[in-house]
Amino acid sequence: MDKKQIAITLGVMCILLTSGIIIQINTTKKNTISNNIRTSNNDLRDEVLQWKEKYEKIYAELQSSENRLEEVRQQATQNNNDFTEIEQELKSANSLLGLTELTGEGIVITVADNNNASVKDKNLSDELVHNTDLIEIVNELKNSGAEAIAINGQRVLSTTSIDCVGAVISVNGEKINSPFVISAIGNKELLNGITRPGSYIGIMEEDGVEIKIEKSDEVTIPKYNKVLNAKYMTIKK
Amino acid sequence: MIIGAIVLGCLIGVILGVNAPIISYTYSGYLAIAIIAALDSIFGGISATLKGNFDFKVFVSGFFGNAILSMLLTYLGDKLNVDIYLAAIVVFVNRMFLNLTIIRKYYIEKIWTEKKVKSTNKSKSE
Repeated sequence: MDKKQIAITLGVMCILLTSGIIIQINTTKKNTISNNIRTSNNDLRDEVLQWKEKYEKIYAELQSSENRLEEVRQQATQNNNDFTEIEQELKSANSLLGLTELTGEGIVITVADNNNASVKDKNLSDELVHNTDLIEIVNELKNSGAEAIAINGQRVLSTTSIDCVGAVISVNGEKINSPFVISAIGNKELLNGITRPGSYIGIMEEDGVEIKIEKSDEVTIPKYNKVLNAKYMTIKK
Repeated sequence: MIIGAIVLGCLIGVILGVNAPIISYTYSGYLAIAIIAALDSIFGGISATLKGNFDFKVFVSGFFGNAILSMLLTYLGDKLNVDIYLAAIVVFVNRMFLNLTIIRKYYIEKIWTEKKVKSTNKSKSE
């Protein structure tokens, strides 16, 4: 066997070997990319958290600027009667809209999932608090003349939605979970009518939902902690 | 000449491999074990060439036979849930080192004797 033949054979084998190695490298590289999707998901989650933090920071800034604006407004209107009236109007309009923190007599209702609820229970669903329950309670409170309502610190406005988002409930787009503290300002005796026999809350209690109702002379309701935007509506002339 | 052929073959192989389509990840384990087998065969071929007992039939049959056998073992191990391919890798790498030793010894001895010959020639001329 001469050297030329040996060289050709070895050369051909090397072609096969190296092309195989390159194909293998490319294959594993592609597969790592698909594995990377999971990592990039985590990165996205981190980014969301970062943005949330940023949002909160900027919101705090907005808060302080609003306070400053209030101060300046008060200083400006101190000496002028017309302006004081307008100022008063603005304030009451804002409080009706839900843009100010309010306090007054009212009622605090705490509804919570049954602590002893287990998967084996036949009527497990009845023992948990659902978004429809919250909607029903809010409805009854409004019916009893509640002037301001908040659920777990989320102000209920005309634009508020109460949605079921899996294991938690979304109010104003914020996820809240059991126990749900519903505070309402209004005539506390009238509001307490929510516990009348045969009421929705009574049925819930019978079903096993844990309910606590407190009348109070000083219920504090936080303001709406987002920005109200009107994009499509205009005032009709 | 042999070294030149190997280098040329490697270059062509890289170009081919870059342009070749990638295979499904399921089969990449088989390709990997085949690569190890081929690598072992190449080293075996080089050492056989140096020793002067290179046989074309033995070399080619070893190249493909080893690759196919190791792939079959990998498949069997997959079915039996045993990592048989590890045993194949151990054997191949072991042989690779043995062949490398032969290649190394050959070149060391070659250089050594050349030096010796030179020095004896020098002393003779003096």
